[in-house]
Amino acid sequence: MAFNSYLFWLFFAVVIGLYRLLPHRGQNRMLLVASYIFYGAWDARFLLLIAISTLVDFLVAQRITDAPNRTLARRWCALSITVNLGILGVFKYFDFFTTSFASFLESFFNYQTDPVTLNVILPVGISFYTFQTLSYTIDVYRGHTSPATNLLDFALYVAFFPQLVAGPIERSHRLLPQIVNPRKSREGAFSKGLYLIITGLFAKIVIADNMAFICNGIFAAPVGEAGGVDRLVGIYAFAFQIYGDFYGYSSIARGIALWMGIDLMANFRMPYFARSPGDFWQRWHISLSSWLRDYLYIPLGGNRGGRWLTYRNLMITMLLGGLWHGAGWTFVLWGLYQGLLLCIYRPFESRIRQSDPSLLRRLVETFLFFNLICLGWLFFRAESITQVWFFLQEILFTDFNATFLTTYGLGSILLLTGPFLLLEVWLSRRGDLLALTRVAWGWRAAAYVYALFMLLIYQPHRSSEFIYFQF
Amino acid sequence: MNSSTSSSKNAEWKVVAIFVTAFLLFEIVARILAPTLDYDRVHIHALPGIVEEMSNDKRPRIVLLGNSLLMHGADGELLEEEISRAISGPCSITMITPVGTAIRDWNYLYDTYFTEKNTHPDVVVVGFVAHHIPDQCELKMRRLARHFCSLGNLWDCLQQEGPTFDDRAVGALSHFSALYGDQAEHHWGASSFTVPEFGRGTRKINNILDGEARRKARKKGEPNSSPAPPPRTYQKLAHLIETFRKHGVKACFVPMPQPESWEFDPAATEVIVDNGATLIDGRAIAGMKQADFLDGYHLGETGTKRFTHFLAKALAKELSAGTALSP
Repeated sequence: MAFNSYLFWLFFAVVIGLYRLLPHRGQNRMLLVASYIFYGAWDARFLLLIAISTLVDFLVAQRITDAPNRTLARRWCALSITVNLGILGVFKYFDFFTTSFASFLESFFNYQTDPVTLNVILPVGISFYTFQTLSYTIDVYRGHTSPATNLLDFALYVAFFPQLVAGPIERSHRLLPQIVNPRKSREGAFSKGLYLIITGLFAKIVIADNMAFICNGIFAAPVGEAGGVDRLVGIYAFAFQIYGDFYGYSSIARGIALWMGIDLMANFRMPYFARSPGDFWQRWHISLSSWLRDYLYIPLGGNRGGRWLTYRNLMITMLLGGLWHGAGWTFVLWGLYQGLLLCIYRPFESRIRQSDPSLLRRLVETFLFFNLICLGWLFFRAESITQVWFFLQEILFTDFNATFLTTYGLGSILLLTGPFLLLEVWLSRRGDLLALTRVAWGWRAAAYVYALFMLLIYQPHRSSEFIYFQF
Repeated sequence: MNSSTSSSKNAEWKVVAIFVTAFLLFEIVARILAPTLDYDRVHIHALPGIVEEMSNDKRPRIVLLGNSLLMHGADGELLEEEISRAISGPCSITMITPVGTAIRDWNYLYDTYFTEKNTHPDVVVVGFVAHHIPDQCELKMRRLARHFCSLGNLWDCLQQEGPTFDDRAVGALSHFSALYGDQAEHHWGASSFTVPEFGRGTRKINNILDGEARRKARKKGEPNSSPAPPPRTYQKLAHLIETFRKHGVKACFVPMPQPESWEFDPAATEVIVDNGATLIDGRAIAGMKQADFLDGYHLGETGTKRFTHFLAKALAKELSAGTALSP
């Protein structure tokens, strides 16, 4: 039941209708049932995992608060971490590590083994809700948040359907009070929700799905079917596919949550306008990057131990961040690459971010960094390291001949993402992500009519699933 | 509620009103453009007129039902002339050949356009190749719901042809909205106009992705990778024959010629013969060569003549033997 399906919108129409009729407690109960129906629609068996995670963390948080000393509290917190990471480890990483270990033994010691694999289906969104519940128990342990007193409220915090399967990964101190306390009507909530939903659908259907078609074709093209320039266009297409896809999901999630009185955090802030890796990670998947910062990088020591320890901490954080995205060596490589970028840029990071360069210099820096991000997307999108190597060879040793595929790909990128990027330039200059909701209604209506036209006409015949569901 | 909240709500309702109005305007434009989007839409939109004209014809009536294979393969005028000569009497030929259609479309199409008693022809000739007649044949839900379904059979269509809720929703929306029903054509038209090399690029990527899907299927050992074809069933074929029989229409099924010889599923033969329809095997027509084909699939000028001649002869024989033609 994805956001770009008719079934979801029918489901949401029923939910919002009931929501309007019910009092606060009834709303929470109904939203919990709706969230379980939403999640169970993928596979009802996955509900058991969410229930285990919810129950364990609810009880553990209370034990942490009731613990007579810090040692015992730490043990309870460790239990929560073990259970949550255990579930994640079994369902997401077990097969990857056993097969990788078997390959290692065979490659280096010529020792053949038959690795034990579970072959289980990866539960949708497991990485998202696991991190969300983990942050809750850690925050309770740290005293940053009070434990939930009502199991149903806490269960809704874990399973709230708009952000359950692909984030944003909310923190308990932001989301829990909005669930526990009666929701107040927010000024402009309808307008903001509408804006977020329309831009989200535009980003997913017009940008991501069309870019997916081009990117999938170029990544699947055998040798000789696409040249080096085509491969480069394929990577650019993926850059906009993954942005449209993930921004789209987060935006729709925020929009529909807002219509139910809940304000979710912004997960993206014009990421391709970043000029350095530090800047990028404050604009891209903000809920994950801030999670990694608060629960991994800083506990590792952050930048408090000198230059080399900072580099080590950055590399560990980004490596694990890469692995969070998927159990595969390409994700590990992507994480290492992101860590390396952060380390290389670190001496210049503050100078780049604090400076106010000329427009030309800003454009050059942005373009250069966008291409570095795109190189990272090659690692992320490739099906294997062999494919990464093949693409790099094709791009580096290309004859720079543009084929009709290049023209088609670049033309599509320009037509479909160009207006969206122009909107972002305008939002960036206004310094307000929701600036369109604050202009005269005629401008907004014109923008929505354009989006409607594009949604109706430029919907590709092959639609793709949200990429981040697999994480 | 304070005045600023109220005015902001009013402004938003204006935005929604403009949004809805724009949708309605797009729909009106889509309806205006619909009959001229491409030659196939021209033909589809002419179907009510074609059927009406045929039903007013006092001569014995033969309908050729199929897709582009039959459209390119049979010359209606030549066929009419040759059959009339062979049976020493007049007859009329009507071609109903929307491009890319197959058995799932033909069932609904016949049910939708041949509604009145006097619209049923004397003979229907269905031309096809192997992949057009199994229940598992390809389907374009939007076009089926928009152009080949009536309000009366829409529900059946959505139930039977839409495996998921979303397919059914798309079907229902397409039936009532030209924007949805003809979306693929609008997309193609607009993109061809705005994106350079759209047609070539799209075709190339579709070929690559289809090849990739086949490669992956082979790797996984999925059914279409193995030498044995996937299981095919023919309930919709039987249903179409039953519809013809119910209305007293003689049904002739013609496997069409192809550059390479192709195997006709014995199960399909059984369904055709057991249900009382006639099989006219056109797969191997004497003298038909590779050069008779336009593009490796459709018949060209010389091929059309050969096939029309063959069909006229076969139909005349059938008609002389039976009592199908009764003016």
